[in-house]
Order: sequence, then structure tokens, then C-alpha cells
Amino acid sequence: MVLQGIAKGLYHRKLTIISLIILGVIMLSGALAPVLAPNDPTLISLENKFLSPSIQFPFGTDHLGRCILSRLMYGAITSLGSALVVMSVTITISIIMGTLSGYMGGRVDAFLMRLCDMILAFPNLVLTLVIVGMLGPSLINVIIAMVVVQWVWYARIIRGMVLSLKERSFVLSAKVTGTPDWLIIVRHILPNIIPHIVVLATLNLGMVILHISGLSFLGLGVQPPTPEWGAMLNDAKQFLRSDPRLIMFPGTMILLVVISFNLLGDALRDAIEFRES
Amino acid sequence: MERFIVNRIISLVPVLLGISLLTFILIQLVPVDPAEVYLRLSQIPPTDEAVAVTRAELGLDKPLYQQYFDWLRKVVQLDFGLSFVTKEPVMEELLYYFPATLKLTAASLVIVLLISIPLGVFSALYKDTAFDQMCRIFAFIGASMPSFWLGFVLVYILSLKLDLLPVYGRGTLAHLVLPATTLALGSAAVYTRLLRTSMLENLNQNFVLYAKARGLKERLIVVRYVLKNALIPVVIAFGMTLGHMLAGSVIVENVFAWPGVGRYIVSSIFNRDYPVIQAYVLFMAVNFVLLNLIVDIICGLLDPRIRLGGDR
Repeated sequence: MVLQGIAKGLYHRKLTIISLIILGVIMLSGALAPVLAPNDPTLISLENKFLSPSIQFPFGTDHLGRCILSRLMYGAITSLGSALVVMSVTITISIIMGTLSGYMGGRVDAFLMRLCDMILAFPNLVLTLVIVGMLGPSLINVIIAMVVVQWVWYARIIRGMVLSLKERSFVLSAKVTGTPDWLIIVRHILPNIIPHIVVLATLNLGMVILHISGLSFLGLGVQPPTPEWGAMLNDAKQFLRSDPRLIMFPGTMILLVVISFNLLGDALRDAIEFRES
Repeated sequence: MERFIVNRIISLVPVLLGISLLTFILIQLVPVDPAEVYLRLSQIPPTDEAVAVTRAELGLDKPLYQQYFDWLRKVVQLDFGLSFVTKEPVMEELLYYFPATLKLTAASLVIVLLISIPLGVFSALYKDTAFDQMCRIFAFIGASMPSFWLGFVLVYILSLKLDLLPVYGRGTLAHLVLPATTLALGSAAVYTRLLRTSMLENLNQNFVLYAKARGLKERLIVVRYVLKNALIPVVIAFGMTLGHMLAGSVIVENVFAWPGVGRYIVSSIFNRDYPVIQAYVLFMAVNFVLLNLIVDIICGLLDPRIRLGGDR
């Protein structure tokens, strides 16, 4: 039912369809990169550096003679994949914490909420940056830092939802009939929360991608020679004058993906609000 | 009003304590022994004996809670210890780099206002026209644009191709334009939409209808009645944004080689200069909290409802 309503809402928007197609193509080309990519993305050959687009190198080569198209395709796995990992871990943790906090109340709730207050008192980019700084630059540490900073935000929202659901008559009647707590949570509370969280997560995926590639751009995330869009921009920045092409490709990819996720998130939100009103 | 401000300041105490606690916990995340890093950076071979001496020197051999209180006592006196790399007091170094960051942030703030107020107001007044649609597209792209890429695109077009603005360096106003615009665009996009929504809500209020019935000029109504009210949510969001802009300047500073805290912190991260990292996060968080305090007070001044609500 829920999914049907959402699907209907999505169908009527051309832009949503376009963004879905863009995301689909990018994800697919990332997933199939080992088969489809024309060249090895990490193969350095200095005699091929700064080549213009050709049949062998459709987008040309970078300062180390590596194929830009292949790097973009493999980069899609790193950029999108790590964003999806961050989001799914964040959501899982925040659903557990938020439900626990809202449903149990009392000391657990007080403790978790004070923890959230503490983390939310920091600007989130600063905290992410510093956690990465403490743990040391690497993609896995960026993922850890992003999860640590972001879960509180969702946990807060989920807790609020659980608090209001707890008082609804269908939950109360389940309680009166002696349904165990875990079953109430699984059957009555989670199904009402998850659609909203999916929307929030989609709306925020764009931001997560921006942060991950931003940190990689600073050299704190993905380490060379692994291809990633932010890291590619970092490599390319010294050649802005001589070869602006190197800047344009990865930047356009990031922009496209972020816009697509934002459009998709907007559409999902409208669809859900429409269903509820 | 005084009571509102005093209450607000008192409520800061637990927040600041929480911030200090989390900052202290962060340094415990370090996977290596800070004493060893300190020795390596000082080019002293980290023998067991030297490590033990340094640990005692840095107070790392004491129990954790005591380390926290020792550290907190120093922090309250603005003593963050010495940088592992330069051996200078960290606070002095932060304050040396901070003005550049502040200047950049202030300039972007001006740009945010210059872009978002006219776009927000006019897209609300001319709702659903082509102008409104264009603002919508601008807001959408602006919010999705990676600032590190936007910076390069602006440099390429405005400096390298058209030769209008200098690329790197600082000093004159012209040097400030590109980095500040890069930093501003994302927030400008968000505020344009926020102000538009808030304007539309206020335009439908009875006091606007009444003002119209009294025959007041359209422009007067918009500026004095609608905009003044519509700006309140925008001002509230400003506190948050300023904090995020101070943080976001990390990326912009690294694009433009701007000599602010952002560049300082990234190089400190690569050097594993832990006292600097720790001081930075505390410094930024306190700035963030104080900015929010100032914004709250301004909102209290603008809107008695907030002030009185806070008095309860």
C-alpha cells in the first residue's frame, strides 16, 4: 500500500524519472566497471599523459596517463558505495537507538538524548573532520566519522515519532491484549517509521556524497591510487590552467548525482505527504 | 529581556561542559600513543624510556578523569598546550589564523544576504512566474554544488578565461570575491527558498490585508510588515549557518590557498598534531554555541513572542 502510493507519486514527475535514470546508469556503470571500463583505472603510463579523447581513451587521460573514463566508472563504486554504506549503517543504528529511547523512556532515554545533545552541539563538518583527524586519513575512518556524527540526528527524529506512535490507539490496544513489546515495535511502530526515514535518508544522501568527496578532496578520505571523484579533483587541481578537462569530469559527476538524489528525495517527500494528507 | 538573556546564558553551562567532555573523549580515539608521535615529530627516537618520560610530561600516565580535570582547568584559562610541530602555544596559532577565516566568512555572509534577500522576496511576490522558476532552479543547483568544484569553475571562468579577478593571494577586496562567493552559494540557495516560503506565509496574514485596506503603499507593506516578520526564521537559521560556514571554509580555504584556520587544521591533521586538532574542535564548537546564543538574543529582540516564551 505504502509503496504503491509512493510509486504513483513518483510516476507523475518527469524530473524524478530522469534522475532515476541518471542514478541507474551511473550505478550500473560503476557496478559493471570491471567488465565495461575500457582500461585499467590505476595503470600509470607517463607516455600517455594528458591525452585528448580518443577511441582507446574516450575521455582522455590524466597527469599520470590513466584513463579518465575508467577512473570515473570505478569512482562511482567508491563514491556512491561508501555513501550508501554510511547511510545504511546510520539508519540501522539510529532506528535501534531512537526506538529504544522513545519506547523505553526513563534513564535510557535521558542518557541517549544527552549524548545526542553533546554531538549536536558541534558543527557536523567540524566533528567529522576532527574524528577523521584523530583516527587518521582513510575511507573507512571517514565512514566511521560520518556515522558517528549523523546517527544522532535521525535518532532524535525517530524518537519523536515513536513517542507519538506510542500513544496511538492501535498501539495501546495491542498492549492491552498482551502483545509483547518487541512485537509491538516490529509490527506496529517500525512500519510507520520506516517510510519517513527512507525519505530523509534519500534527501540526505546527496549531502553525504558531498561530504565524502569533500574529505577525499582534502586528502583525508580515499587514498591514492583508488579512483574516487573527490580525490580525482584533488589530483587535478594543479592542472586547472593547462588541462581544465580533468576538473570538469569528476565535478560534473558529483553534481549530477547530488542533484538526482535531491530531486528523488523531494519527490519521495511529496509522495508521502500527499498520501498522508 | 534581561531575564531572557541571563537564562539563555545559564543554559549554556551544561552544553559547554558536554562539548569539553566530548572533545576530551575524542583525543582518546587516537590509535597511536600521542607521546610517541610527539617524540617522532621532535625527531627524538621513541625508546621505551623516552616514551615514559614524555607520557609523564604530557600527563598521560594519570587516570583519565584526572587528565580531564587537569585539561579542563587549563582550557578554561585558554591554555591548549603547545603544538607538537612548532612548539608554539596552540591558542596563539589559532588566533593567528582565525582573522582570515573570519574575514572570509563575514564576506560570504554579505554575499548570502545580497543574493538571497532580493531573490527570496521577489520570487515570493512574483510566485509561479518565470522569475520564480529561475530562482527555484538556482536554489536547487546551488544546494547540490560541491563547493570544492564550484571554486575551480569560478576560477577557470572568471580568472583564467575572462581575467576579471585574481586567483590566489589576499589583501585586496578583489581577492576576497571568489572564495567568499564559493563559500556563500550553498547557503544563499537555502536562504532564497527559506525566505520565499516565509514571505508567502506572511503575505496571507490578516495584518497584511488590514494594511492593504488602510491603503498603504505596496512597497511599505512588503518592507515594514511582511519582510520584518519573514526574516525571523531566516535569522534563526543564520546561527546554524554561520557555524557551518566557519566549518565549510575548510574546503574553500584549501581550494584557494586561503591562509585561515581551515588550512591550518588540515595540515595539522596530516602532521598528527593532536593538541591543535583538539583545540580546533573545541574552538569551533564554542564559536558555534556562542553564535547561536547571539542569534537567539537578536530573535528575542525582534519578536516578543520568542522572548516571552523563553521566560517561562
